[in-house]
Amino acid sequence: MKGRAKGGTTVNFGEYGLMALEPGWITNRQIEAARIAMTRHIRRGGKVWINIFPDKPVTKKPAETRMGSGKGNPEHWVAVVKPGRVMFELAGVPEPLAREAIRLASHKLPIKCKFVLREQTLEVW
Amino acid sequence: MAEVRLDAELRTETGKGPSRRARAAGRVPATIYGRGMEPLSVTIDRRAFVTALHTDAGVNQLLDVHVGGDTVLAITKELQRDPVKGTLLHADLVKVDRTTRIDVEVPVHLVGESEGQNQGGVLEQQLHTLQIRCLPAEVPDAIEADVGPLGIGDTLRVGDLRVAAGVEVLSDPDEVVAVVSTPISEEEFEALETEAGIETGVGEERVEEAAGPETVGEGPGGVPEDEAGSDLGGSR
Repeated sequence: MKGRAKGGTTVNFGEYGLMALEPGWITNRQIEAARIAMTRHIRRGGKVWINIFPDKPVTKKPAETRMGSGKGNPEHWVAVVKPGRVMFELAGVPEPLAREAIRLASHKLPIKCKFVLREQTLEVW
Repeated sequence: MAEVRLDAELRTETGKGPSRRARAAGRVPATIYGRGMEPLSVTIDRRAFVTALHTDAGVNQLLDVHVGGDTVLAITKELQRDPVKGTLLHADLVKVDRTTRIDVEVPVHLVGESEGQNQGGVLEQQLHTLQIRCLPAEVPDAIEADVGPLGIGDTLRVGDLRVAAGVEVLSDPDEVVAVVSTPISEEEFEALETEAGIETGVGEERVEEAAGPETVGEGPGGVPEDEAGSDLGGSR
């Protein structure tokens, strides 16, 4: 996977975000696990947005199968993510709580990520 | 608003190669255009440009661009940045006239603590920038929205915002700026936790419908190879 994210690189709805620093495929299970980790930590209050959607099917041949006989069956679904993509957004909670919630969520994902503030995603250097 | 002076150099080469060389040399490729002038391709010192954009006015800072012996009064129209590092890659500057009103986007800052928040509500800002029209020198740094009187369930709309004289708001007056929402109950929270937030939607049933391929150790029709007497293995 080549290049950086072309869109979805800013925090649009919330105050905080989780940005991808590496390219990767995020499965629907990983997205769900990250969402649950975040909502469990912030409890009530606060709002979570998921900006990525697993719309790419990934196929796999069953174990102990001979090669040939066509392509495997769809096994799961993934979202293709490139560096710079803001995958999750969060609002309505104090910053330390948001940082911890996003840290917990990042551990559910297979790529390096970072916590970003809304202003940081618009700032130029 | 005081203008910030920027010195720009005309560039004759365009495209990714020369642009990359300019960036490596600490300069930002930029284009200046506007009514009554031919578009100019220039480069600007990155450090000076970034400093100019870090004033209170932010990206709406008026710039006095000195290029080729002329001075152009300009404002930033668009910035391209590296999504990860945030380094400035390219800028579009549009020429402005001091006597002609311009359309700009200014940030909305919420001020104060709402009554609803004290009662346990959650303040949500839904609109972060406002589209306005005013003279270039009168562009406000930000529009302040007082959320103090908002109770739980109350909404602050664009029409409720107070702006300075000479500033015309272009955004829809009914658009919601901020709302104090009721915190979700424990039952709703539990329901939210158990629901499947990500559903793959299309194609789920196809996975089940599709016939499984032939597996090793199992002959056609699901009969184990040993029992089916497969001739693949030769004589046993």
